[in-house]
Amino acid sequence: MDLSKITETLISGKSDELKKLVEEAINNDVKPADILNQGLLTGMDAVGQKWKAGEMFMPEVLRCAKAMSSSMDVLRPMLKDDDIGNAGTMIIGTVAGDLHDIGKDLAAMMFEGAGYKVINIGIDQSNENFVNAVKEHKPNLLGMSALLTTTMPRMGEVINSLKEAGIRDQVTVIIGGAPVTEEFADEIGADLYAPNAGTAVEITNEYLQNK
Amino acid sequence: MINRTNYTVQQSPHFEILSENQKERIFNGMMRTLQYTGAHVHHEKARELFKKAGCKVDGVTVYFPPQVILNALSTVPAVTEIFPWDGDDSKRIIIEKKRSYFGPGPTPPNFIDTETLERRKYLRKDASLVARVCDALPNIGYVQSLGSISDVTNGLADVYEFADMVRNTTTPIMSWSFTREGCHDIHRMGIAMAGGEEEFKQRPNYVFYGEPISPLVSDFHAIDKCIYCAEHRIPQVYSPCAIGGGTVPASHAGQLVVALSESMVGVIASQLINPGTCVIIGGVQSILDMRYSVYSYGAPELSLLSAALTEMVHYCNLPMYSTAGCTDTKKMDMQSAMEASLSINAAMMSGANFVHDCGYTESGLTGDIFQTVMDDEIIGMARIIEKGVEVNEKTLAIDQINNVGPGGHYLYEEHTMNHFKDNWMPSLMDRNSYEDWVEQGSKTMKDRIIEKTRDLIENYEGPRNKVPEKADNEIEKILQEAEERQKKEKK
Amino acid sequence: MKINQKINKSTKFKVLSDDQIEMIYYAALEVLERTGGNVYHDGAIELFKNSQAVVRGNNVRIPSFMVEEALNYYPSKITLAGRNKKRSLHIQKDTVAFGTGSDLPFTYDRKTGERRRTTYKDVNNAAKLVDALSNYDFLMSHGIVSDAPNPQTYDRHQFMAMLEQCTKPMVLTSVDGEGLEDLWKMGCLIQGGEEEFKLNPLFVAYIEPISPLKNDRTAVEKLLFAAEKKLPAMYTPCPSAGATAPATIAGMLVQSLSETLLAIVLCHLKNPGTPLIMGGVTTVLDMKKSTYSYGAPELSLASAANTDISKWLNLPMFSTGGCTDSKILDEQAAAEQMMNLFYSYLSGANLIHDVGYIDHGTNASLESLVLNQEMMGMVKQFGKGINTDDDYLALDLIEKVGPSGEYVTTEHTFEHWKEWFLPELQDRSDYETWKNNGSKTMLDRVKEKTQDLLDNYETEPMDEKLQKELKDVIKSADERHS
Ligand code: B12
Repeated sequence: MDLSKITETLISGKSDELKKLVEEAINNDVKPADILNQGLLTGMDAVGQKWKAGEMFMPEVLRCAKAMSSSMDVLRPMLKDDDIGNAGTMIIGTVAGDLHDIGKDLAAMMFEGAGYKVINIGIDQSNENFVNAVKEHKPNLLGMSALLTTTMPRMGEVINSLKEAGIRDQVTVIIGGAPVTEEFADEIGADLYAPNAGTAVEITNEYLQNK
Repeated sequence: MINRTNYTVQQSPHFEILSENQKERIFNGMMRTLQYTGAHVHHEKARELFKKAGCKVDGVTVYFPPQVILNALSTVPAVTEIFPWDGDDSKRIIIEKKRSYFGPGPTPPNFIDTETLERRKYLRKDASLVARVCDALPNIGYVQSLGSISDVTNGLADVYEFADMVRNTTTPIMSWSFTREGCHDIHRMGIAMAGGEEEFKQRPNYVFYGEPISPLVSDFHAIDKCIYCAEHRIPQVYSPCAIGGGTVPASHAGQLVVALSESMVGVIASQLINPGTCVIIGGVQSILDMRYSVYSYGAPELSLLSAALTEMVHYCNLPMYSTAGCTDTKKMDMQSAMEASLSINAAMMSGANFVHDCGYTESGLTGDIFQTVMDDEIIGMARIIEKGVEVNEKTLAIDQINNVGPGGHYLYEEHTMNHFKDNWMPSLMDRNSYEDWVEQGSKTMKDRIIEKTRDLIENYEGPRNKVPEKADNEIEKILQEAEERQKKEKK
Repeated sequence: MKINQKINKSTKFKVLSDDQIEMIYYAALEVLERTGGNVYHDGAIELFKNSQAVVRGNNVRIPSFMVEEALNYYPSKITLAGRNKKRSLHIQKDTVAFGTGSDLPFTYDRKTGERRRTTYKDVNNAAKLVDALSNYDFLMSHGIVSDAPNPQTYDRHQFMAMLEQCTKPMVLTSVDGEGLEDLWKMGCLIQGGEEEFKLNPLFVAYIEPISPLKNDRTAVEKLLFAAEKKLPAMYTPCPSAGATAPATIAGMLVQSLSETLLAIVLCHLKNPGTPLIMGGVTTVLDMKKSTYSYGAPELSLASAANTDISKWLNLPMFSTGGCTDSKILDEQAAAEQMMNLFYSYLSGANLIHDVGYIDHGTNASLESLVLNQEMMGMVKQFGKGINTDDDYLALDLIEKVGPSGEYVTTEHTFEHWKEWFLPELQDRSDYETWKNNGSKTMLDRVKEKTQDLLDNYETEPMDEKLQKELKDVIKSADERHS
C-alpha cells in the first residue's frame, strides 16, 4: 500500500479521511511501525518544515495535529514499545499558582501532533500532582509551563520532588512559558527548554534521539 | 457679528465603529451568554452572593438572569474622581465618558535597562524610576509600573511596587496585587498618603486593577480582590486579556461578547456588595498571531477591538480601560513607533477613559520607559486631532484673508501671533531642515528619546521629598509587616 | 434573521459637523465676493470678463451664484485605467486609493546613506515598487527626473520613467500647458486615441494655485487645457497655516476652498463638466524651524476636515498621508506616517498622495515606499470595522466551548483567523526566535524587501512600437526646446 497517501492526507489536515486510510492500512496488514514512521511522522515532519518556513499557520498545523492524534488513537494499541520510538507519553501542566492556560495547551497539541499520547493535567497544579501523575502514567516526557516570574521556581521544586521520589531519571523534563529562559532551565536542572510550541517537538526529538 | 441659531458643532471628531443596532446585538449577546452559558466563579462566598441576587448556581457555574445584570448597570456611578495625593488638581482624574488618560501597563517580567539599553529582569529600583519619569511626562495621566519586581521577597512585588511608586509620583497610580492581603496593604498605603480613612474615601488616590480569565472564568483571588475593593469603595478595574482565536472566538464580535460577559461578573459582584462603587472594564483585546503563536500587542486588530469594546462599554454606561502604545518589537525601532502610533490614535478617537500599556514591548514581556517617552509625544499629537477644528468668526479669518489679499503672506499678522501657539509644538519630532539636522549630529528619534529620558532620570526630582513624614513612616511599617506575614506563611 | 438593521460596514470618522462645513463654505464664498483671486492669464481673464464676474486688472471677484451654478456641473465619478487597460481606480464617494507623491528633488541614497539629486533611474525604481506593492493604487513620480536633457521637458521623460515600470493609473505633474498637452498625447497613444482616453483616462493632471489666492500663468494654462479636453485634473492648494494661510485651521480651509472654487468656476466657463478633483496639502509652518511640516498632527486634522467639506460639496478629494518630517527612516518617520495614513484613510479621501515622503517633502526614499506598504495594510484592516452577523457573534460557539474552554482548535477559528491582517514586515516572533534570526530591526527587513523587489520584480513590459511612438513625442519636445 502506498503510504504517501497517508502523508498527504495528514498534511491537508483531513481527520476523518486519514483515520479511514490508517484503518485500511491496518486491515491490509501494513506494519503499524511503517504506518507511523513512513506515513504519519513523515507527514508531521513536512508540516513542521512548512510551519518553520512560514507556509503554514497555527490553525492549520493544529488541524494536522488533531488528525494525527485521532489516527494515533487507532494505531497506538497495535504498536509495540520499540515502534513508538520518541512518540511516547507526555504529562503536561501549568504549575501551582499559575492560571495561564493557552500557551501550555498549544504545546500539548503540538506534542499530540508528533504522535505523543499527551495527558494535560491543567493549570494551577501542585508539585504533588505533577509527581503523582508521573508515578501513575509513567511518561517519558514531562512538560511544565509557567508564565509568571513568581511561579517559575515551582518548576524547580517539582524537579526536586521527582528526585526525592526517586523518579527523576524516568522522565525528560521540558519547560516553557514566556518568562522562562534557557539559563533558568539549566539552573533548575530541567533537561530541555523551548521558546515556543512550534520548536518544542523538534528540540525534544533531537534530544531523545541522541540520548 | 453674525447671529446664528440652531447650530451644531462637533467639538471633537465623530468616530464610530459600531452602529446602534450592532451595539444592541453585542449587548444582547452578552446577556444571552451570561444567562445560558454562564460563567465559572471559583469563590464560594461570591457564588452565594450571586445566588441570593437571583442567579442560578450549578457547581462553580453561575447563570446570570438579565435583571441582575441590568440592576448592576443601573447603580454604577456616572462620574468618579481620583485625586493626586499632594492636592494638585491639574493631575486630578475625572472618570466619565470621553475623557482619556494614558499610562503605562503593569507587571512585565523584563525591563530595558536605562543605562545599558539591554533587556534584563525588572528590579525594585525600576518602579520608582518609572514613577518619576511618568510624573514628568505631560501626556501621561496615570501610572503603572511597567514591571514586576524580581528582587524582593517572593509574593511582595505588588506591595513594594506601590510603596515606591506612590512616593515618586503624584500622578494617580493604578495598582495590582496577588491576593487580598496585598490589596489590603496597598489600601492602607493609599490611606496613609490621603491622611486618613475618611480622607481616602472622599479623595481616593489610586485605582486597583484585577482580571478575570477568558473564557468566562473568575478565579478565587480575582473575585476576592474585587470584593475587597467594592467593600472599601476603591475604584477598580476588572478586565480580561482576551486572546482572539485562543481564549475567545476569532471573530471580533464574538470576542467582544465574551470579553464583556466575563467582565460583567466583576461589575455585578461589586455592585451587589456596594452599589455605586466605581468599576471599570475593558482589558487587552487582541489576537493570537498564528505564525508565531504570540499574543500580539502590535496588531491592527488590537486597535480595532479596543475601540469597538470602548463603544460597547460606554454603551453600558461603564468606564473603559483600553490598550495602546505597545508593540511586538524586541528592541525599539520603526515597528515600535508605527504600532504605537496606530493604537494611540485609535484609542484617542474611541475616547477610552484609561489607556494602558504605553511602554509595553516584546508583546507585553518587556517594559521599556523609552517607549513610554515616545508614546508621550504621540499622545500629544493625537490630542490635537481629538480637539477638532474650531469654527467661528475668529478662526474663519475672513477679514485677515482680505487684508493679506492674493499673493501676500500671514507672517506679520496679529492673527498669526494670536493663534500659532494653538498649534502643536513637538519635543521629540524633528522638523529641522536637512542641513540643520546634519549639523546637529544626524540624530534619529531614538537618539533623542534616549537623551530626553536620561535627562529626566538625572535631573527631574519628582515629589519624593514632599511625602509627609508620617505617611512615609507608615508605608515603611506596612512593608515590614508584610515581610513578617510572608515569613509566617512560608513556615 | 433580524430586520431593519443599520450596520456600519466600516469605521466612521468625521471632523466637522454639517453646520461647521456650511460656515466654512459661506466664508469661502464671502472671500470670493470680497477679496477674490488674482489670475495671471489673459485667456482666463477674458473668460471672466465675459461672465458675471468682476474683473479689475488681474483680480477677479466672483458672485456666489456663479459658484453654485458651476458646482452643479461637476461629475462625482471618475474612473482611471492604467496602461494595462484595467479600470482599477474608481474615484467616487467613499472609495479610497493610496499613491505616492511627486517631484522630490533629493533621494536618500541606499548605498551611501546620504541624500543626493534624484535621477531618471530613481523614478524608474519607485515606479517598479509601486507596481509591485499591492496597497498602492496610483503612481506619482516620487522623485523628480533631474538628469533630463532639458528642465523644460523633464515632465515627459518623467512620465516615460514611470510608464516603463508601472502599469497602474497615475497622477502627473507638468511644466506648463504645453507639457501637459504632450503628456496627454502620450496618454492617448497608450489608451488608443483621444476618445478612448476620455473614457479610460490614464492619469489625472496635478495643478496647484499659489496660496493665498494666486493663479499663475502655467497653472491656468494647464487648467484650461484640462477643461478643453475633459482631462481629469486636480487643483490642489498647498497652504501653510501662519505663512501662506491664516494660522487657524478653519481659516486655512476657507482660503483653500475659495482657491478651489475659483478654479471650478473658471473650468465651468471654459467647458462645463470638467472632471475636477478638490485637493490640498493643508498643514502648518513650523514656527521654530520654519519648515513646511508633513508630519504635523494639524496636517491630519486639516486634511480630514477638508475631506468632509469635499463630500458635502460632492466633489472627489485628493488628500495627503504617509509622509513625515524625519530625514531618515526612524521612529519618527513611522509614527508620523502611520498617523496621517490613519486619518486620511478614515476620512475617506478618494486619493491619498505623498505616501512615502520623508524630510518634509524634499527627499525620496524607496525604502519608505516599502515601509508604507505595511502601514497602509494595517490602516485598512482597522477601517474594516466589526462584522456582527450571527456567525461572527458566535453565540452558539461560545456556549459550546463554555467557560474555561479553548478556541484555537475550533472550526470557527480555522475559518475566521484568515480575515486578520497578515504582517509581512512587522515582526511578531518570540524573543528567542527573533534573536536566532539575527536580531533584525524593521529597517533591516524593509531594506531586504526593497532590494529583493528591485532585483526580482518584473513589470509587465510595454509594447515596443508604442514605446517608440512615445519617445517620438518626447524627442520632438526636446527638439522644440533645445
Ligand atoms: C492572557 C494573559 C493572562 C490571562 C490568562 C488567560 C488564559 N486563559 O490563559 C489572565 C488574564 C488570566 C492573566 C492573569 C494574570 N497575569 Co497574565 N498574561 C497574559 C498575557 C497577556 C498573554 C499570555 C498568553 O496567553 N500568550 C499567548 C501564548 C500562546 O503564549 P505563551 O503562553 O507564552 O506560550 C508559548 C510559549 O511560551 C511556549 N510555552 C508555554 N508553555 C509551555 C510549556 C512547555 C512544556 C513548552 C515546551 C512550551 C511552552 O509555547 C507557547 C506557544 O508558542 C501575558 C503577556 C504575554 N505576552 O505573555 C500576561 C502575563 C504573562 N501575565 C502577567 C501577570 C502579572 C498576570 C497576573 C498576576 C495579573 C494580575 N495582577 O492579576 C495574573 C496572574 C493570574 C495567575 N495567578 O496566573 C505578566 C507576568 C509578569 C511576570 N513578572 O511574570 C504578563 C507577562 C503580562 C504583563 N506584562 O504584566 N494573564
